[in-house]
Amino acid sequence: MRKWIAVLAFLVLALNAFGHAGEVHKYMGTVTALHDDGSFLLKKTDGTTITIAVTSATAYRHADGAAATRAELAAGKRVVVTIAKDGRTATEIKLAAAKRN
Amino acid sequence: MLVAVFGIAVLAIIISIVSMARRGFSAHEPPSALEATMARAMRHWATPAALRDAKNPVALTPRVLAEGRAHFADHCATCHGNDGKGDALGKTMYPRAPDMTLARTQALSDGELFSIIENGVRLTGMPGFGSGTSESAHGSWTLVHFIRHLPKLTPDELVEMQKLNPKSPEEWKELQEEEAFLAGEDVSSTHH
Repeated sequence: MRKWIAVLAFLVLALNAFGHAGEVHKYMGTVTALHDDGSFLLKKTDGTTITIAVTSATAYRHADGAAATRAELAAGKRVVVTIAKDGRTATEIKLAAAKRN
Repeated sequence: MLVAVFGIAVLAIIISIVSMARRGFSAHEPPSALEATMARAMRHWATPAALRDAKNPVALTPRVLAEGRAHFADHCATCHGNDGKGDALGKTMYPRAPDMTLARTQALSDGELFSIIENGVRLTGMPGFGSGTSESAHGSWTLVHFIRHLPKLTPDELVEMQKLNPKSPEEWKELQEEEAFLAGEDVSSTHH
C-alpha cells in the first residue's frame, strides 16, 4: 500500500511541463543619422530603414567584446543591434572592433 | 496511530489532486506554497548529512573563480542565465530556476550547494552533474565559489561569459556573419 501511495505522490508532483524561451531579434545595418533624443536611423542590410531607440540600459560593445560608448556611434558606422521585445529599442549595440596601433 | 497517519496522507493526496485539477497543469503558473515547501524540504533531505555543514575545500583564487565562471557559462547558464538570476530556459521550468543572487540560495551552505550540483534535485529540472570522480568534485567546488560571486558579477564578466555559452551551428553562423559585416565585408544576411 505504501508503495502505491509513493507512486501516486510522485505522479502528482511529477506532472511538469516546459515552455519556450523568447526570441532575440537583431538588425545588421549602417547608421544613417543620429537624432537629438538619442535615437538613430538604421539602414538595414535588406535596404529598409528603421528608427532605433536607445535607453540608459542600452549596452555598447565592440565586436571583440570590449566596451564601447554612445559617442562612437556616427553616421556611416556599421552596427549589429539587438532589439527588445517592443521591436524598436536597442538592448545592445555592437560596433566594429577598435583599431589597434 | 498508523491509521491516523495513513488517513492524513490520503487526505493530503486528495487535496493535492483537487488543487491541481482546479489550477490546471500548466507550468506557466508559479508553484503553490505547498509545492514550493515540499520541494525545498526534499532538497534539504536529499543533502547527505556529512555535506550539510561542509566548507569549500578548494581555495578561492582568481584562477579558480575564472574556472568556475567558464564552467558556469558552458554548463549552467542555459537554464540559470549567465547572471544566475534564472532569466533563461529555467524561467519556464516548474519549479522555476531560482534567482541565485538572492539570500535563499546564498544562505545555503557550501556543502548544500555542492550537493545540489553533484546530485541534482528530484522533481525539478536540476540534473546531477557529479560523476563521483575527484575532477567532478573539483569542478563542483569551483562552481560553489562562482555562485557565491554571482551577486558581484561585473558587466565585463558577463560579456566574457557570452563568448563561452554553448551555441548551435546557426548561432555560430550568425556570429561569424555579424563579425564579417562589422569588419566591412558584404554578407548575404539572414538578419534583417
